[in-house]
Amino acid sequence: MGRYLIRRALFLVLVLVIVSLLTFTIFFKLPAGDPARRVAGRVITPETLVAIRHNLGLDKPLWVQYGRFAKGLVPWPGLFLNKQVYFNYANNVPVSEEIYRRLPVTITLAIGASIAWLLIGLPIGIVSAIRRRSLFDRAGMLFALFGVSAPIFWLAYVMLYIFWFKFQQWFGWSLPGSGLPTGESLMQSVLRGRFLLPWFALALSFAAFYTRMVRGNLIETMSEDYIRTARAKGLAERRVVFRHGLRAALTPVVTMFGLDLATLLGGALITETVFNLPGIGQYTYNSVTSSNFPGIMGVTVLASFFIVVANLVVDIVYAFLDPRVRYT
Amino acid sequence: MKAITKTIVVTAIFALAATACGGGGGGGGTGTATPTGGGVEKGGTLKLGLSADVSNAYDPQKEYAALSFEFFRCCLLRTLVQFPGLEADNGGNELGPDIAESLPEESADGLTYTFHLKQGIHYAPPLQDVEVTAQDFVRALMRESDPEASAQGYPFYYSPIQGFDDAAGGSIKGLETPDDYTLVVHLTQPTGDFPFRMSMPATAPIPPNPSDPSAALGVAEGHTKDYGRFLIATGPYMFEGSETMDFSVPADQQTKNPGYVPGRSMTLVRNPSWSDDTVRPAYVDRIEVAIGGTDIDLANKIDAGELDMDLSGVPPAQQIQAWQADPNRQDQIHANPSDGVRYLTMNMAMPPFDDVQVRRAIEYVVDKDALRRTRGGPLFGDLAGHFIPSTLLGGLNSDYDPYASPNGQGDVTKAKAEMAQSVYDTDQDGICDAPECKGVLAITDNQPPYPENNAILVDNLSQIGIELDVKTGDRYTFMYDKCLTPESHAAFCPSIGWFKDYPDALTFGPPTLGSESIGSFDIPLAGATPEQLKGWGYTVTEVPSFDDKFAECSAMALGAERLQCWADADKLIMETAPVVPWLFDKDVDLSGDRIVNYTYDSSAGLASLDHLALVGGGA
Amino acid sequence: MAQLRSEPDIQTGTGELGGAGEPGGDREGVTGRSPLELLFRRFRRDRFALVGVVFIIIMIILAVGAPVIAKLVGHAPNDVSFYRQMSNELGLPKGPNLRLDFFFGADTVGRDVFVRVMYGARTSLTVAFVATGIALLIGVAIGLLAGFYRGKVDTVLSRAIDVVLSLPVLLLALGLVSACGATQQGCLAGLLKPGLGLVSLVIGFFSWPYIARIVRGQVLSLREREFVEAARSQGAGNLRIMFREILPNVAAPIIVYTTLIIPNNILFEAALSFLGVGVPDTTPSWGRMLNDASQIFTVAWWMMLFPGLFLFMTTLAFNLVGDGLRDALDPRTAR
Repeated sequence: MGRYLIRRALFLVLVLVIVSLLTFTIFFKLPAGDPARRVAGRVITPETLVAIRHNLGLDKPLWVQYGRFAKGLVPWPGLFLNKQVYFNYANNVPVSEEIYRRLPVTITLAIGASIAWLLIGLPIGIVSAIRRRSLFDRAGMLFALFGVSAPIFWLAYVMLYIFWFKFQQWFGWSLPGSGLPTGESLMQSVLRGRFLLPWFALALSFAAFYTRMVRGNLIETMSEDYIRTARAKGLAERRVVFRHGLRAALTPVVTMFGLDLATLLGGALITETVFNLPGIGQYTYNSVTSSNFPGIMGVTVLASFFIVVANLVVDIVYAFLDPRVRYT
Repeated sequence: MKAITKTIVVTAIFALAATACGGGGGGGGTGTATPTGGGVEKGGTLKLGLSADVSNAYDPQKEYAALSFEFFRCCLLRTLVQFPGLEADNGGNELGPDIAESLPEESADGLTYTFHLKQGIHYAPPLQDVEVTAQDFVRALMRESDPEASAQGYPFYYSPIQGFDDAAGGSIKGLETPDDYTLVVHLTQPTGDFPFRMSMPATAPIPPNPSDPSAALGVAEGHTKDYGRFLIATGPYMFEGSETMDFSVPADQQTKNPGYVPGRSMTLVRNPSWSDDTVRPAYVDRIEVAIGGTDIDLANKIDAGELDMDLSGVPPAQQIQAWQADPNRQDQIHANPSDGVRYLTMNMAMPPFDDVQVRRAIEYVVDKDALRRTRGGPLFGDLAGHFIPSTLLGGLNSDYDPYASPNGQGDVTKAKAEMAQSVYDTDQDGICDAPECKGVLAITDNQPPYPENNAILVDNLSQIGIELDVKTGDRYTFMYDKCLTPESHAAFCPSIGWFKDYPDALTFGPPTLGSESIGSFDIPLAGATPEQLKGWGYTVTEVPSFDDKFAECSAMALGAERLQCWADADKLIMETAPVVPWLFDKDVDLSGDRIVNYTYDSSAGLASLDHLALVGGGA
Repeated sequence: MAQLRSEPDIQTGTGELGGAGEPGGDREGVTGRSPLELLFRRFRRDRFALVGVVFIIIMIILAVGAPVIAKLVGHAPNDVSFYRQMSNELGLPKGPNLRLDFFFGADTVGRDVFVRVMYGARTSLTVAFVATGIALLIGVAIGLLAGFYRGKVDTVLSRAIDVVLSLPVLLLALGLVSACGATQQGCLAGLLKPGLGLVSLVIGFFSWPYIARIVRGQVLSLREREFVEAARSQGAGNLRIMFREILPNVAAPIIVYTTLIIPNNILFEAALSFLGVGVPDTTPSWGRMLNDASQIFTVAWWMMLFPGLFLFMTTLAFNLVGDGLRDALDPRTAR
């Protein structure tokens, strides 16, 4: 187990290095814009640009610049996202300040949505599997098909249109639309229901995948030999399903859940943009479109970190759930 | 007193008189210290929304845009002289004294300006015991002379000051403080519009640091990049929580002003030290600014009563439509000229735009009415027939429209007639057939309504045979990068706008078409030398220049002759056609139900925040 | 949904390709049918999947025939000449207008939404097929190599697959497409030219790992089978074994999983266009049209409804087909 963990940790480092290199190459080497321009503003002379580039270290050789950014990715206090390198070129706001401020919003979005999609997706998938070919099964699969096929950005606007715009017209009351007012604390925003529509939109999309997967896995598991044995032993059907069937069927779900949650934590870019939530995803989008390289770098590595850690955690949990898996 | 200063003073007095007699909606901004016009009560919290934050976190030497200028002028910073924050026909463009007792004395040769300061004006907490002195203004200009500190600003406006260009953050020879309340400025050449330049926020006083009297830049010492986060106010308002700032510790340990969270929110509260101000009524007690959100979000919040006004954005067309249909809200829709022009630029060193016939053809073919419609229609401005707004020309050229077309919708026939005379139209049928007219690189902004504008322009130009290859991206890092860098060979940059810095045509001509602005906003490369063109890889060897004309007008003293000179320059520009102006911009504001006394600040081009009041005092 | 992914039930190859012992197996006599034939026979019985196929064919016809449609209606996709007629004074677009032949209304510059939706089908289908094709080529190649050679080769290639799967896909795609799309020459010395090609390549680059994993799994188990040994004993070289013996037997799952990725790739392109980064402005794209609609959908519902509906239905159709194929492959999970 220990050796396994070490190997996975090394893999984590490998991935982070590659991600940082890729990000550096894509955003730095082939930039769509010149970050020095952002700092320079309206009236610039070529000399000013040179001076700014020098200040930002943009005139150093590429590998030196990469080194400066890479140093800021080491998770050590004082080095991690240090203010000397990781600041917004335009208004000098440190990247760490932005991420720190935005992470709670993204976490709220991710956790709420993930609870919602588990609550929606799992039961429907399980019941669909048990009552195969019934009306419920068909309806459930239709719902799943819908969720898998509808693009989240369309779904989100349809929901806004109905539950926020039209409800206001029809009933004089509606769910809150997009955005988080600055006067509210995060807790207040949650309690006032400002996350309801984003949670629901995300949940619909993700639940569909889980429904299909759980149904498929459960059906497959249910036809395995050991289930037949359990039934032959005279166990109640419910016990058979929940004790034996589900355990095996849910293990892949754990994998997917871990990955999905990690991805969302890295920033649900589209959802946050559509619903105007000041989270990591929105910051990512703003940084990409305004060539704010330090922001891009910080967020990218953060996102990759979440994904790889999630993989690791999932593997460990998997091991406890399914003793057949070994670690060499 | 020199004749020009007399003119300024006299016009100011007339403006004062006009305002006093006019009364009503204009607001008594230049009356007594705390005027209250008919039915306008003090008090309350004004809730504003901004779709985007200022670009430099309120660093006064770096900020160079209307939004920050308004917050500085109305609320945070006082300067030696200032504009009253009123509409143009209410005296909004008339300079008046602020911290100075009166407008400056000008020497006979125009090389020396003397300012006498009011006494007893103190800074906001935590420096409420520190009085504003002449040295504080020197400090501001010293910081302005540091290229790093003024990186995105306008230090070039202060080059006429002796020793400014060489100071690089150190002492400036041409600035003298014979006593604490007198500032003497020595210039290297006569600069008729110099007093205007002392109204800009970069000249606002920077206090000394009581814990470190030796610090040359006072409290700004050690904050080259981010002084805005430690700003000390002199205006009627300050950032909430300013008093918690502690300048006794080293710069990198000082806590930032808590009242401003960049990109998120800003809260202004009354400055207890504010006194002796004839410029600003400052009715509301508190201003809460929420930053972020699309214009739609902000519009919804205004309709719901959560916000009083969207200051930075453009009201969405559907909201304007709803308000226009609402009989109760008719007088809450405001549209005021912002003394700015929106225009398309053509790189005169890139074929086919090196041929004036092609450029003139494009002047005719552009459907300006459609372009304006994508912005929201006639409410958002008048179609522009020439480049320099007539408001900056004293009304001259207001009928001058050399490329007029029916209803401003473009005239394809006349365009073809011009194109037929071009070398790029080999069969002279009015449609360009040379290969240079295909794949013309156009660099644009990617935010609405520019993509819509692109669709229209692609269609317009295709009618005379020019095929645009349109690339869109972020305005600052992409569009400005490609359009402003001569080496990029961007041919067509249509998403450009220019707004006055202060009410003189000097702020229009040289920054957009003068050779000193190449690499900056002289996108058409007017005035470039053959050596420069060769160095940038162009095959075209010469381009027109407006430098001589600009120099002629800049040297003139303020007055009718100068205005006529700029009007002639405007005509020269239109004949040479490096740009296609299409809109004299108007700022459109929808003021919320709680707002009374809406006033427009023509100097900044935004709503005048120190004149806004809330109904019933915000009760 | 920042990480767009295909179905996660990635079975690492049981090798059961619908051969003997299948409940729905072929009883019509002793003619042995290849796995592919079995696949399609079962598929044909799936009504929903057939509906999907029909819809896709219709969309292909509409996409190919888009210029004809535009001509019949009288509006080109980028035609702005009706701008003043199809908008009010404030520039707000007008909705469906049969008199002027604007069946789906106009957009913010007076362009015909119906015609643009038809052209949008071209974009979506082109990207779907090309990107998936690229993913297929790369994925099969890498999966084959990894599964066949095992050992060091497999370790390296498997790590590569893992790394690509850990990348923040949307972010990097955003960067690549916007960087390379912003110039006239493109990246990699003109290889990645802005436009459909660039988008397809980028999407294909991020979706090959799914196919590679499947192929690898299948190959790993197949290479131990008797027919491989038989071929080897006859003197067949590695390449021959890979292409003539193993590949045909992997064809069925490859087809299935490739089809399952198509809906994802369609949505990926739409997402990139929605974020303003996909195909250039002059190429209509459903995603970009949804972006255009996002600011005024409360007063211009047609701009949001129609592109979204077509995007949804096309994705749905491919999902139905993919599901049908997968159920045909492994009938135990069929509806």
